[in-house]
Amino acid sequence: MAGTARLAWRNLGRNRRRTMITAIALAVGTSLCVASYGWMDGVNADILHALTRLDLGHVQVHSPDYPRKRTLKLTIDNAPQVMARARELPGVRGVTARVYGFGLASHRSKSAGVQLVGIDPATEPEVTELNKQINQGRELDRPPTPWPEGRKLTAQERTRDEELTREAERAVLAEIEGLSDDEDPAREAGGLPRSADRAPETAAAWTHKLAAQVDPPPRRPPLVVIGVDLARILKARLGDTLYLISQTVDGMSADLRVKVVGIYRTGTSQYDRGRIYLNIRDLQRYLHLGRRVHEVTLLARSAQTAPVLAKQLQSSLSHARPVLLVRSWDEIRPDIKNMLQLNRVSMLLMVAIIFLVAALGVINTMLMAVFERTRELGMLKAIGMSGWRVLWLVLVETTMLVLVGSVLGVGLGLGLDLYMMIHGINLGAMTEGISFGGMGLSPTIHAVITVEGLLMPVVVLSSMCFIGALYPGIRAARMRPAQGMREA
Amino acid sequence: MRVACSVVLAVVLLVALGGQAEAEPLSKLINKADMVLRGVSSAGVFTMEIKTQSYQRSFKIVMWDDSTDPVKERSLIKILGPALWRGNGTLKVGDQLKIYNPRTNHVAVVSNSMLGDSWMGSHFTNDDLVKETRLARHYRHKLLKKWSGRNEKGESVTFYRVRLTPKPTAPVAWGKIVYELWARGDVVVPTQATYYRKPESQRADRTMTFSRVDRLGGREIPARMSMTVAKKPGEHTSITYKTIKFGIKIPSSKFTEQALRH
Repeated sequence: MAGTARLAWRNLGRNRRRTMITAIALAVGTSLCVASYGWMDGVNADILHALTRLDLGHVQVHSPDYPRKRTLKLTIDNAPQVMARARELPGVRGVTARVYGFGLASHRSKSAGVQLVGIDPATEPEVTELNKQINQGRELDRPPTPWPEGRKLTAQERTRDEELTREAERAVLAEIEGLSDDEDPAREAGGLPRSADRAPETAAAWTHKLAAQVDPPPRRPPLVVIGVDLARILKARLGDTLYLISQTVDGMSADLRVKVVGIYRTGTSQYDRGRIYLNIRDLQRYLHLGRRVHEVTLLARSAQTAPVLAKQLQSSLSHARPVLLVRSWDEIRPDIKNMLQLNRVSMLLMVAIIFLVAALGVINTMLMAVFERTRELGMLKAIGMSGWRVLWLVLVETTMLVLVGSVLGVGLGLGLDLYMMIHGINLGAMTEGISFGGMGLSPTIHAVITVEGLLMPVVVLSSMCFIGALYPGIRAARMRPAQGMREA
Repeated sequence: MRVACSVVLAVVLLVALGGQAEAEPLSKLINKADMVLRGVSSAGVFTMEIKTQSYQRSFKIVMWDDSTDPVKERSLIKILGPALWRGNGTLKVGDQLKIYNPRTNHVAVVSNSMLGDSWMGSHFTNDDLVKETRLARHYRHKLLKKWSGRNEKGESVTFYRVRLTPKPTAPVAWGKIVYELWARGDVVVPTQATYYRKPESQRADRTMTFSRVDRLGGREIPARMSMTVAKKPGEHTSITYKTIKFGIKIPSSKFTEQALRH
């Protein structure tokens, strides 16, 4: 065995230049593949980061029908308990809760349909980096907007209210009476004078007062943070007041004036154009949700450990009623998961194609090496070396050649990867912002070095060359000694 | 031969005419039942009760309606109480719907995307208010059952149950409506309308029941209408008329945004 190895090594050294060229070609090919892997893993990591650290988190909990229907009333009613259970799990880095609504936001003459997102400024930074995306103004305040609680009307107030309804009814009936008497066309359509009833201004004032007891407005406009694209669409700036229209969970049309206190840019148009963030308590008050939430979001140690965390939380909550749905990011966005996998598969395909070409080069080298030594091999066989040994010799030679090239290549590739990892490649010159499947990426991509990225190219190359070397190897092995020795 | 032909002709004519004698009044009956509260200008005050799983409320509402023009119906609905809702109004002119909220002094034009939304949290949608469906005109009918019986007042009437399928001109495409009504002389009153999304559906989507037939405003009308939704048992929205007057002349100023706001 050792003899074969020494023989193989010496054979390689026979034609230094050819061996060197082949090895260098392999090294360059390998280093480019390693660097491409690093780049692709960097892009994938960025996509995952944009998805999980800007919005989704790693694991989400919902009421079972909520993901499909997205109706206001499908809430999680025991959020504090769910969050406490989540914090107990070992692999958890952060836990927060959200509330979602839909409405129309307008500013002066511009309007846009928006998703209203209620976040808790205290716990949201545990899961997302939204705060870091704010580039104008500031983040939401921790304390919610002072908002007096509504209360039921007192008996006296109710009586007054019923009185007002009766008066309104009387006035309207009188009006109808007036119209139904069409024998006298000269009479005004207004009908009988309403002097007997309360003046409409006072009635309106009373109504307003009573309504404000049951559903009071906030003491000042709640603060909001909006995306840069939405700000552009609404022509709104920091400090401007927006007017929101939405519907509460109990079917009432609800309007609200809010003040823009921060503007953010994530690069993902879904967030930058379609969302308004409010304090979760404010949104709960606005939509009459009490303390109910729509979503509890967790951050795991990494995106890879998220599915495990999701299973742990699901079993931890399995005895609680009502049953809640726990999903990890890959179940929530299988399209992104598929895209990441597609990236990896296409990477592999590219590597295979490149190395196919490289392997052909290696086969060519080995073929020539075998041809040159026909006489020598013939003699070796004549003195007793078996065909199998010859084949083995060729394979070992090839393997050594590939190993030298690969190790060199991995070293070079690692160097490129390190540069890209630390320095990053800035695509900002080419395009303002790149998006991959809707997810916005930062203009600078940093490579990510993985074991797979370093080893896969070597494994692929080695296997291809090994298989490729079988051809010259078998040819050499089957040569007839007498014939071989006769070749000049 | 000639005698035989004339006999055959006579029989055929008789059968045809006999058939006609049935079909013609039925479409008229359907129309009368459908238009039991419409067809002329009317104004009335009613109570709307809404009961859902999460909330329960009751409004007093005045409705001014001018459905004399089949192409451009106009109506103004104002809520008279309670306080939280007083002054809320919905104005419909043709197929445009505007909703006014006095607490924010804002008039919203209902866009197509809002048509599916419930009206004031009830089981009626904005679409129900906007669409002008005339059952007799927009739907084909087929008699399912006809029987004599007693209505809720104990009077002897003829009940009809028909199946309605939409013609291409129907504004709302309910796949199938099973419509029940009774007729007694000149008076035709609907008793129930069951709406199915698809013609072959076995399960109804929603059902409207008509009851408390009374003589109000000079007509025999069902003073109470109740809408239930199949997927939400135990919930309902019911309208009960207190007062209604037909055939009054409502000034056009009643159907303007100004009237909506005040």
